[in-house]
Amino acid sequence: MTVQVIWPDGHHQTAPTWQALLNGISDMPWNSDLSDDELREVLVKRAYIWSAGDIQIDPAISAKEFIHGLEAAGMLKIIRDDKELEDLR
Amino acid sequence: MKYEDQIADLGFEYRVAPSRNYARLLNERGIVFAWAVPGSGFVRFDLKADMSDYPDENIEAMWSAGEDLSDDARFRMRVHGAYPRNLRGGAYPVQPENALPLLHHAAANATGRRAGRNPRRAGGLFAALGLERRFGVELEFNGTTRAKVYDALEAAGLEVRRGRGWAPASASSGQWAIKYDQSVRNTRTGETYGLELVSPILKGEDGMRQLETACAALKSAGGKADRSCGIHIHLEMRDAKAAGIRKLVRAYVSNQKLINWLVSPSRRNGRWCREWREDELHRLDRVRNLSGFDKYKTVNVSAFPRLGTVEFRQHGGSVEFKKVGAWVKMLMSMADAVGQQREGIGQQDSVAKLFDAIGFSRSPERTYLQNRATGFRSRARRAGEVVA
Repeated sequence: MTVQVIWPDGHHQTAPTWQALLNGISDMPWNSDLSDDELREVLVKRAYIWSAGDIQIDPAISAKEFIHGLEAAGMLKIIRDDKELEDLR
Repeated sequence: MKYEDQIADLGFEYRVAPSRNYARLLNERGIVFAWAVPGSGFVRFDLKADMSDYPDENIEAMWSAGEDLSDDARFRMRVHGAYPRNLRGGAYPVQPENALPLLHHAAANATGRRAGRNPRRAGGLFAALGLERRFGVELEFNGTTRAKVYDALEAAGLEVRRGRGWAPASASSGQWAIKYDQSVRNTRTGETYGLELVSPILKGEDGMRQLETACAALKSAGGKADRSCGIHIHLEMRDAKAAGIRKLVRAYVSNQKLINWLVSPSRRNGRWCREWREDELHRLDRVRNLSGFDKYKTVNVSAFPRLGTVEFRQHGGSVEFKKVGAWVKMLMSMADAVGQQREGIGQQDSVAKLFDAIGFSRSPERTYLQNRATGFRSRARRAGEVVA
């Protein structure tokens, strides 16, 4: 399984698992000083702001559900097939 | 030395009132209320101008009004609009280890009514506390090779992460990195494309010093910036509220015509830093989700989900710290002002008024930018342009 997402700034991220994808976010600049729990809290807050309060993600859910929550907030787009990736680019 | 003794050394009288969970620090020039916020890990300070000739009940009212500390704000300035202008104060939750720098600052700056006249004067507190907004800088350049620049940066004492290809480093580890940038003109130095120097995450005076050192190193290594180059500034928005990003974009865009005089003509509505169009602003106000806005704008919000930053892309390329540093400080003031002012900064009709509105205090950087604007306007007039 490969998980692929694309961010609003065009950054394309892939990882072998949902959790690895979250780990990858944690390695990004500006996020790397955060612990795993802090990263989730920060992303929850960003999602809340980005969606103008529409989406409140539970930080304790599974990595897969969490990333789907980020998608629901418009924070990223999960790529479901390569054609979709081409279209987005 | 004991904490209380250090406070006494600063000229403050230290009183503890256990029932209210606060300490009241007094001297002849100012008052600082220090609050231990239960369960939060914060000590919070309310710094007031000299209120010695005001009735106690007013001061008491401020105390009780000061208890609504928001959970997630690293700091929040609350203006006490109900009081006379010279009684404005700020509320600053700070980590305990930052308490003493704050008191040092208070001792030096809580100078009674003079300090109270300008609420933005309290902005200096952030410097004393090390609470300034974190920032990142990307300097596009050409005219030299990345190896030469890495050598110069290292020789200047900066940490670098050498690498090859498009993105050799995340720059998240306190190291400066250089990557290719296809939008930058290639000056045939042997590199495949133009280059971009990416700072680590910077903060406060140390960050500005690093930036100054990096600019000097880049210049000494032969780095140049032509019209194909730009400067991109990322400002951290960790303290943003839901409307904060919209307000920041609004603040910038409402004053776009003035800001255009601060940058070179080639960066006015340039290809990589388009101005926000009216329809986009309309959409910004109406849509709930902030997705779908182009990255190549003067103010780029699309990095926020991934990095938690807002990027400012309008300034033209430069290896001169004077230019880069002044621009960073101006943007920092704007972001802070937007975060602190509920009503926004509005549309101003002169650069000086804009700087006043964002609390960009009198400084060499402000003077430099004002002179730059004057120079660009004069040049435009001479060229026959209509200058509003």
